[in-house]
Amino acid sequence: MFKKILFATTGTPSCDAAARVAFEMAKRYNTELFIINIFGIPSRSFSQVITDLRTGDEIDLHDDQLAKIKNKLERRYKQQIRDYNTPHEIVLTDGIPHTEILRAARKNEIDLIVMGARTSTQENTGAVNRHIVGRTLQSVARSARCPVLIIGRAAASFWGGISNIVFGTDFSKGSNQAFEFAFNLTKMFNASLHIFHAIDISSGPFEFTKNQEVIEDRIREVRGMIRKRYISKMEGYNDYEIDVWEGIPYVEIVKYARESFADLIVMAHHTKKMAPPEESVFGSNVEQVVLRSNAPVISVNHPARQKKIDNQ
Amino acid sequence: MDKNIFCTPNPVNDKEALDALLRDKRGQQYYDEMKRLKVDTAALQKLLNDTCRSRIRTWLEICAHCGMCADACAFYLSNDKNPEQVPSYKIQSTLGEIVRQKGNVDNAFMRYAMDVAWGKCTCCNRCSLYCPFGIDMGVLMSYLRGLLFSQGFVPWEMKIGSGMHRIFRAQMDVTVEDWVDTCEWMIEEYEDEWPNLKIPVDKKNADIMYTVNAREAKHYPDDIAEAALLFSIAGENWTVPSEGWEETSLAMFAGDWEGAQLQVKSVYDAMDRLKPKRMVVTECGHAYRATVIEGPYWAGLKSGKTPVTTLHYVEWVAEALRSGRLKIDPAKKIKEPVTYHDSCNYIRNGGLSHIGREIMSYIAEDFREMTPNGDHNFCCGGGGGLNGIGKYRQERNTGQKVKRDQILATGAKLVITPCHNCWDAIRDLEETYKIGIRWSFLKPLLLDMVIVPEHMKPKEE
Amino acid sequence: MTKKIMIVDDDPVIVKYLENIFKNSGYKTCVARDGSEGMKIVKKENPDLITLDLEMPEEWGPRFYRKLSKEKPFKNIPVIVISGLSGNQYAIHKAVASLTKPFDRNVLLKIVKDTIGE
Repeated sequence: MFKKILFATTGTPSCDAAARVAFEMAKRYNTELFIINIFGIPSRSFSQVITDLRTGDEIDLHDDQLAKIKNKLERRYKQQIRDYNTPHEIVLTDGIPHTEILRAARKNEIDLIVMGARTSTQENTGAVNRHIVGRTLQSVARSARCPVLIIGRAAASFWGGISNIVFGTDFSKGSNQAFEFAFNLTKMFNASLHIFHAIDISSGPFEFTKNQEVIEDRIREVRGMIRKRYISKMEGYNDYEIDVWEGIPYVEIVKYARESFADLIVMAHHTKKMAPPEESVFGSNVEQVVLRSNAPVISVNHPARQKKIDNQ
Repeated sequence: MDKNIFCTPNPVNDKEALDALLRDKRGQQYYDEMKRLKVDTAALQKLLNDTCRSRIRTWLEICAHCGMCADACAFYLSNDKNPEQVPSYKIQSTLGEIVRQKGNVDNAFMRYAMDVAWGKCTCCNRCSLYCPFGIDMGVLMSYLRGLLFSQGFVPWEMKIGSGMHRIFRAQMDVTVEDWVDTCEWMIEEYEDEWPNLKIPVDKKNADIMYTVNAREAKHYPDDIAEAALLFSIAGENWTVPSEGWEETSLAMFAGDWEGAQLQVKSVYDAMDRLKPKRMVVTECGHAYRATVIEGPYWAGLKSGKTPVTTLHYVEWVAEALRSGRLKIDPAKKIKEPVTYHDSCNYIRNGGLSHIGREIMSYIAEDFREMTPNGDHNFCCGGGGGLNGIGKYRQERNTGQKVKRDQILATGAKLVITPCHNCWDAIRDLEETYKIGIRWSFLKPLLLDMVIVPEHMKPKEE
Repeated sequence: MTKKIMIVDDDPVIVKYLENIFKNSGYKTCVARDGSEGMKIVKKENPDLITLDLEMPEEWGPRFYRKLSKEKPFKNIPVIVISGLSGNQYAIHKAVASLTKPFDRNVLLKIVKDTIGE
């Protein structure tokens, strides 16, 4: 299911947790690992001068500089690279981070992108100005043709292996693809699948949210939907649970994941458009879950690449 | 004395030389070598004899030093009205001197002329508008740049830019394969939301041939997808050429006449090959000037016109909105105060200043003009290649004060600018002066506002 | 009654080191080499405290802790995380302490003593 993993890193401590998961997964599932670092963004119009994304300094693109950056990256992941036996490749490039991550994923036919959610806090103002911070995650999750595994918190990076998968659904089209992916993973890892939906009572009409009977009717109805829509496609695989809770969806799924000892949360990220930069970059449910959860989150948005893998 | 390796009168024509030049960090060695670059006065004299025609000589002679141009210049205003920033002084003390001395000038003079030609002028042509004699400063400055380029006195980035065009027929190292692959990539990227999106490559006899700025292929591929979406929504029969897709011309900024000719010919060749009814260029000001205004002369086209009618992107947008091929959802018009910055290259050089106003009348509810505006608009501060030149970064930043104050006075936080260079400059302006503005091309804004025809929407389950 | 400490770690050098520290301070010890072995040993030995490594070949520490916390008789056994991983304090929220390798033996012993006594 995973043959090639792309780990996108800023090469700073903010990506250490994501690195842990990327290397661990690559080792455990014996995949090729590509490590991509977009070290700078073009900053002087057409010229070759770029702004270092870590320091905010202007740097020049030439071989020595590249070697230096590569060396730094190798030092950072020295131990992981040493412990790690399957092939890895370091891709260094300048450019707009999300564009380059997506370009590399397409070029190398990547099955899974792994990245951290928090870019380092001391990130330079140039990057902030250019709406780079946080947008990278949003853009990649939105556009990638393969699932994107996001580690929002260090706490999400200590599981080492997968035995409990939470699939959070909102019954959208994207959720169908996310389900397909979650179920395939479940089978592959011989794991338990926890199918979960949260009924949003934070925004419903008052009559609805005030009446617990109505909410519980709705819960029954949703459980039925889950059986019809998902369980029917599980070919008799019986290690699963269905749970429907009420509340604020992203809070409930985080609580649910904690309670079900989730190693992984799978969700659809079907935001059609980028949030305007002046609004919170972490606008969507997925992003809220990423920032709160103790488990890594896999965002699935597109079926294309995934289908190809299934056919192999 | 060591022989010059990087800084010579020879242009960069191959990848090896280009890579070597790029490795010279910030052109340190290049500029060092420039200090000992000998002026070939005989060659300069010959070039003057061959190319300095009566128009240029007359302009230089009739300039009355009246100073009407002074207050027209953003650099004069931003530099506390320093007399050395008066346009007539800038050109008389450089080109005027070379002509009067019949090319008999020295190294120090040539380096001074370079500092003026690239560091104190963006070729915005605003001063020409106020000149009682109508002297075209853009032409004079471009001519000066050509003389300097021929002798090797050209900023490092400009030398690289000209080399890029000579080698890749693009301002960046984007090959034909890279370009076509990027188009394919964008279709894949957008196919879920826009199932019928196509970017037809090399389609013959299309109504529109679309050309871009290499930056889009290199760094901003979504821009290409957005253009494709808008063409599709408008129902256009359009195509992009596999070769001749790049319309910009750093060679023009560099004063590399030969490179500029090579570049523009690649675009005209694509026109000849694909025989489109018209051509549209992306939101880029100098690309329009290079291809539409200057290009026909470089290519030796007797008509003085492009092989097929060529529109700047704003002209296409205005036409599509006017004719109703693009329909704006009235509820989605821009509600916040918004201002609009024109590229000098398609207003004073192309006469398109009314087009921006027309577009804004369709899409914005609270359009705030800068003062002055239209044909009298000030340059973003980064025109003429200045944006990319490290040596003159501070000059650029200082020069932007006028634009900054113009924007601030409108009270708008959103600046629309249909030009890559201006877009960059205004972004940098925000980075330098932190005035709390956002900046955008037209395309993404239009995509938020247009009514999408049913057949283009994805089928929901 | 002598208290018993279970050491869960895949590195024999660390295990030896910890055993010595604890034995010299009068504790009994038992050892598991990774998380999956850990549950068996817990059931057999019923330790009073567990030191837990995070990254191990088969089952990682947090996963073992998760299983442990499901078993009523064992779920309140105090756990001290000892690991070289960065950010290890985030790995197990209910751990009584998280120590980063290399650690100060006196600090460890003080935590043990404060938690289960001498």
